[in-house]
Amino acid sequence: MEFKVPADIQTPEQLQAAVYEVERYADWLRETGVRREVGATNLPDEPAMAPETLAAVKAWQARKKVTAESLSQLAAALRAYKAPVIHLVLADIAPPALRQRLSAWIRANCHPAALVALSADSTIGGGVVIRTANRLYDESFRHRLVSNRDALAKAVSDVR
Amino acid sequence: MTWVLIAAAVIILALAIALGVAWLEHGHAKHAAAAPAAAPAPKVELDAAAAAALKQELETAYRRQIQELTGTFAQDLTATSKKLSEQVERLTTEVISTELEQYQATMNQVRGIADQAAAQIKTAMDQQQAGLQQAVEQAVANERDRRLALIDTRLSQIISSYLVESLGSGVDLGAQADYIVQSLEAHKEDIKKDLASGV
Repeated sequence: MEFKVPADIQTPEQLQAAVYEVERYADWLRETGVRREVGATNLPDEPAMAPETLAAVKAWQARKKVTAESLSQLAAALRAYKAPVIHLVLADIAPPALRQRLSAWIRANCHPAALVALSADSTIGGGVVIRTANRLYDESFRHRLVSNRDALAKAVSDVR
Repeated sequence: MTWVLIAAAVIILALAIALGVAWLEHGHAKHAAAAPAAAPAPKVELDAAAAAALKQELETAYRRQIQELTGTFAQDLTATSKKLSEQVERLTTEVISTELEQYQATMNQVRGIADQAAAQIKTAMDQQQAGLQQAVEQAVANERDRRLALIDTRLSQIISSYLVESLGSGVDLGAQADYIVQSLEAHKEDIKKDLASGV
């Protein structure tokens, strides 16, 4: 059965972070297992996970028992996961609510497993610049103003 | 020229008067000198009364002759003066007329030259003004085109700077969420194809 990235992992950065956190958690399981076998008492603290990583682990747990080995398999599956990426450039850093809304819309309307790479560029003024592997769709305020240069030139030339 | 002629006429008139006076005096002296020449005539003895009467008669005749000659001379002098005046007047009129005509012609010529020069100056000024106006308009148009070209080539940079300066960090993405989703919606089919082929 094909592994699906949970909906909570929306960006390539979250996916990369999930791989790191799962591997770290697998290492922690191995280390604590060895320490327990030798009777050690000073066990290391359980590493924390981001909610989206935890969601991935839970989804994985529904298929396999969570062990160091299975988590390593999960990390390998996440690392090998090939999802199409759409890049969105906004005028500022996107708040979580907007990030979730955009990701949900793209997965519902364009591709169910797409990842959304968000970045900020204040020079676009507003709107969005959409970039896929093949194309770029500039719906920024800056592009609107620049593309309407004839009107701007006419306004300037009309000034007497 | 006119005054020279008038002066010459006056001099001629004075000479004529002087000659007339001299002629009269000469006649009187001649009579006076001629009287002794008649002395060799046969001497006639006259009594005193007869001599006085004769003397009186001669003197009267002499005076009458003098008056006649003076009148004739006056008439000649008057006629001569009249002719001289007419001549002077004619000459003066002709000279003045000629001078006036020449003056008029000269004035017309000068006026023509002045009009021509004024027309040339006006034409030159009009041409210079037109050239200046054209140069100014061309300079303004060039400057406008240069600025428009500058704006055109740096429009993206100008607008980016303007947006950053104007909006700063106060961009409300929440307010733009609908616009962003509409932008995605506008390219939905293309994005779908791109993502399907971009895995």
